[in-house]
Amino acid sequence: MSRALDAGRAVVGWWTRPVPLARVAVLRVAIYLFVLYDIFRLTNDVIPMAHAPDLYHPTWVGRALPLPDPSLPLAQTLQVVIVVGCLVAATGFLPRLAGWVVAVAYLQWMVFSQGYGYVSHDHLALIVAVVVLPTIGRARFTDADSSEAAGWAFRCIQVSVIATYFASAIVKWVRSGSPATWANGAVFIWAIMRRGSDLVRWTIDYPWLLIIAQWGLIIIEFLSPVVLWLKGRALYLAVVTFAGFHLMTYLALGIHFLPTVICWLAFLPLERVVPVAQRLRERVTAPGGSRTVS
Amino acid sequence: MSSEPAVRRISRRGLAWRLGVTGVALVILTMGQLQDTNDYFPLGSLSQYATPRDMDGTVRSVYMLADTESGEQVRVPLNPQGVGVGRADIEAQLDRIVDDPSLLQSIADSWTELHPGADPYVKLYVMRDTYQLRDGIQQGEPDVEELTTWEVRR
Repeated sequence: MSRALDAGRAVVGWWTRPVPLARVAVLRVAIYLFVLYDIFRLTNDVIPMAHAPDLYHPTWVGRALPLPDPSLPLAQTLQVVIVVGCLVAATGFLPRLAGWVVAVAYLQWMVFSQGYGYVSHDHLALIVAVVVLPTIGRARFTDADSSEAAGWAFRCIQVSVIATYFASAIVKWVRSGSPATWANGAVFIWAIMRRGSDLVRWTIDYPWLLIIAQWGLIIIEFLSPVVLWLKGRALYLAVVTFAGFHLMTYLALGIHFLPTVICWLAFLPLERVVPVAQRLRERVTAPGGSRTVS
Repeated sequence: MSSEPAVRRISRRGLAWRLGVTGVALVILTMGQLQDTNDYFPLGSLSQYATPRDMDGTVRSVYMLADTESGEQVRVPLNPQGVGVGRADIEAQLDRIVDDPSLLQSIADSWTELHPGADPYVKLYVMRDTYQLRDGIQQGEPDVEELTTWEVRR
């Protein structure tokens, strides 16, 4: 009995391991500014697609909830609400109110963006981040305290990032019958023939090379949960490895997964940029030498 | 720093709903993978490039062509800057479009609405190129199919 209790306590402790509030303040800036980049550059199809409402064919959330159909005025309103909400939320002012407004508007935006047939797979962690950040509440750059509520939110983002890889390995298994069938197949050839850049087109003449790459990818995907327990240099190496993988797929296929990449920040000690930024600001506000503080 | 950094705990209630939400989300996410469905978005399947491809199979690529009012045949830009709807959207809804080509009217309308000065489309073609592979190597030129067409209504 006490063993089960200890195990339960360990699981709860893992999901709520305290995170410095200064880290929250930094991640919040990154996530909310990225959402702006997202709606103007990545999911910027919502407004143009509002011109083709007949092709709207929403996923389950869009059918089950009494959500409106896409229209130009609604899409434009959402855009304004998200912009204002993100700018306010990024500053840390009204973190709950601004955060929830962004969460609701952004979810509706994404239901529209993903409601025309194709559903992209790079937004899981970003959507989770937008939903969990408002639960943390106030967090200042100068806060020295840490918080369990922040710990839960960060863990949710981290798990979503890892799920993006691990679950994709599971689906490969489900669809192929065995991971080996997928890895020994022609997926990369297929992808490169359909949308490969000049940088990688030559590889379709060397199928064995692409098979090695497929094995490398599926192995990394299956091992990805290990990252949740890495620390220090091993963790940084893992972050660089996954970011490097996305850089490669971007150069090869034009697929970048930036919404997932930005959420890798939730693995890093972001609070360390605060003193650096403070020093920079001091240098700018007090030109001509360093101030001495008695 | 005057005071020692403290850890702000969460209340029992706060902990309970957080663990509850986490559990439900993980169950949906897991079901999304096992049922292999995008329908549970944002917790649906992470099926990017998950379909195995046969080394001796085919590679198919869908695109759209349009006859314009001035008599040219052009490729329809299936992207946010072009007609809004993307190529992957057309591929995902291909059966629905072939069953009911009138859905393509939307594409022509959004082209004119998004590019008021541009040459309007008078007829749309949904096309598919099929390449044959052998041992992963492309064999010759693709097979070109016309899947459906639509005369644009003014």
